[in-house]
Amino acid sequence: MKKAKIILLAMCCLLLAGCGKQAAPSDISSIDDLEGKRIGVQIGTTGDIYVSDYEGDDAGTVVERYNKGNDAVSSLKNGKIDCVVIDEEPAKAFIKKNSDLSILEEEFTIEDYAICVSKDKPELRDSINQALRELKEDGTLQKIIDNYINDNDEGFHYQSPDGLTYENGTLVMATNAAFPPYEYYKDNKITGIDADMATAVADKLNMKLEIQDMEFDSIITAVQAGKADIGVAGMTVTEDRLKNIDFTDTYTTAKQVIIIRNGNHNPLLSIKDSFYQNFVEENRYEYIVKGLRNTLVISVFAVLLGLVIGFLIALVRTTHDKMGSLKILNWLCKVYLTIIRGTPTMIQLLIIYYVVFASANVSKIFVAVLAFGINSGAYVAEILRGGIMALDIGQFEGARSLGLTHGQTMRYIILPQAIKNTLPALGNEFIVLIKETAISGYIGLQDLTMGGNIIRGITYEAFFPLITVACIYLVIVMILSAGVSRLERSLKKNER
Amino acid sequence: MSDKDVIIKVDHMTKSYGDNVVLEDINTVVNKGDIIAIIGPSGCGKSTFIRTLNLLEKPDSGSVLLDGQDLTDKKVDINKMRQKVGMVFQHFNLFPNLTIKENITLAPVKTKLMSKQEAEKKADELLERVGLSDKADAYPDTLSGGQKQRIAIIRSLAMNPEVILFDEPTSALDPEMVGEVLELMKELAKEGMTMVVVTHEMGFAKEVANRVMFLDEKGIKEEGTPEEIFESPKSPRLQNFLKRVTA
Repeated sequence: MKKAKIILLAMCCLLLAGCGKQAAPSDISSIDDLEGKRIGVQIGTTGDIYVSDYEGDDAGTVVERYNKGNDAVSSLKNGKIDCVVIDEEPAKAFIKKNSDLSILEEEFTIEDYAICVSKDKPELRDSINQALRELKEDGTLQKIIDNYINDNDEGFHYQSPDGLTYENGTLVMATNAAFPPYEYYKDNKITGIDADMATAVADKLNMKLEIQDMEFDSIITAVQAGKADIGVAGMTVTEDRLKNIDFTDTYTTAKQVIIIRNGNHNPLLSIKDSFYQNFVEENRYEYIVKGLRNTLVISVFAVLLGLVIGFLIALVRTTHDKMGSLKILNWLCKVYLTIIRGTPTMIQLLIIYYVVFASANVSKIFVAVLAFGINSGAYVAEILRGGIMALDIGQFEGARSLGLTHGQTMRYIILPQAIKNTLPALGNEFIVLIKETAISGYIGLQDLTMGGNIIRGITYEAFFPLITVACIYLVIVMILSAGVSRLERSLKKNER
Repeated sequence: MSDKDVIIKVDHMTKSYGDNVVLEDINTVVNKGDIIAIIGPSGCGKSTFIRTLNLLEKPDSGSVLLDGQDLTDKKVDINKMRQKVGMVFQHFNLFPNLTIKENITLAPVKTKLMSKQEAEKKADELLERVGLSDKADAYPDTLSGGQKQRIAIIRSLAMNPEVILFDEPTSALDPEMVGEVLELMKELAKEGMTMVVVTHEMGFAKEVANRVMFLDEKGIKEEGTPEEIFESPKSPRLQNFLKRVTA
């Protein structure tokens, strides 16, 4: 444990040393200066589409694409990029919290926001359009927008009318809640213009709104696949998007603007204030707690599923190798091993969520357990098979010569020894699996990593959220390793 | 001798690995009470031959009959048949994950030959017999080679087999431990246990066996009583072999 403390201390020192540096102001005063600069955008947004024209020009412009607007802004603050092209309202929200950033006076382009709906659901699109018209006519929509944009806290706040029965079911909205004031986390809930507007629309349709947070570039896929009914994320209607998805009428217009560093010093928060802001304010620690819970649930069940799958496959494969039977099953197992070990875990997770369970309404935790379990099973299978094949053939022969069946030989003689010998490798595989669950955010599942990212998105501070998340993973892995070592020791009792 | 006394009958049996023919047209019988010593130069197929007798090696053609049932017949329950044939290996093949007592009781209990109580009682008796009662709860890795091989022998005895196959049981032992294992084998022979022994111990073959088989060049080249084989070997190959091993 002493070693662990030293490691932690060293990590903290190293990271603290990196804090508090201030990058130089951006050398950009108009759109014309963008050439040759490093431009940050949120992936898949209209900003991305527009600046892509600059990419690969002679001036050497570089476009850095981020999953979240917040990440782009954080990079700008750190000096990793020179400017960020993003929608005006989020830009305003960003600079309000960051005095070292400003918006260029010049606007980049003007665009319309609309709700995206699957092409298979024209009736839904029509009824949303109808609802939008009504909301525009009675002024509700404008009030919702003013409430957020003019920062008028005591003014209007959209409330669902009483007596709604939601008899038309649930309306699932896909969004990327790192885009204030349209959608962002506050008090552990997703709020913002889009959220309120969608609630108002759902109320008109007599449906209950359910908001799912995911990566921006997953939203259209989710709507197409039927994982969500509508996508509302400050989304601009573009020709490319229209090929895949339908849009409702426009509900508001927005501008793309350029954020730059202005050279002002951002007042440094004390560690105490920073801690308060990241964890205590608005009970933000709850993002971490909820994420940790999900990560643990996914890890435990995925490890179990992986063990079961791994055992079965290893048994089939070794039975085939030793006895020459189970040809078809063995072939299937080999196909499984090839595919699972030959493709990235993240792609497997996305395929299971968006393709396999495209139209089924399944829990994301279930999907994650399935994806990580199936993935881990392939590695466990090969580890166990290696352990079984490494055993002296005499162990099989000794058991079989006594009249034990192949199954009894496996159960009482081979597997106990194979497991003991492969325990370090199996422990290693479980460690990898636990850390791999950090990609659960790609299907909008709030795991530990995503919990930290949500806080980071609200506070624009990297240090505490990331270090906390890292430390929690470290502790989980250390506990697991200690458990495996203990098991190893207790299984060693029959050795000299 | 009536058919009733035949335990194993090998009929036109052939075994090869790929293109390499190891055993060709083997015909022989093992009768009840036989102590057969199989001798021959290394690589002559002795081990392969003895391992076909409980089908650890599968013959390519011909048959191996145990109590009149053909082991190569797919319809025969090979696990049931193997319960009647004990086997002792060169490298003991004790199960390191089980205690000595569990090594002995596992098979009788799991094959439903005995209840757990019966098997444990039997194990206690056998351990007592070989003077290793104090090792009952130890693990195999704490035993000497000679002790391991004696445990392996009583492990096969616990199944009450009709015949025990010994595949070079003393070859992996330190010289000072060979004696204790041979002593136990002699005791078994005296009690009338049917045994087939692949061995390099010519002394044991001479003293204990009632039949000696000389295997060479893919087949049984000479067979007879120990006197016939050791005193008046007929083929030059056997003469040569005996000259080398006794030199």
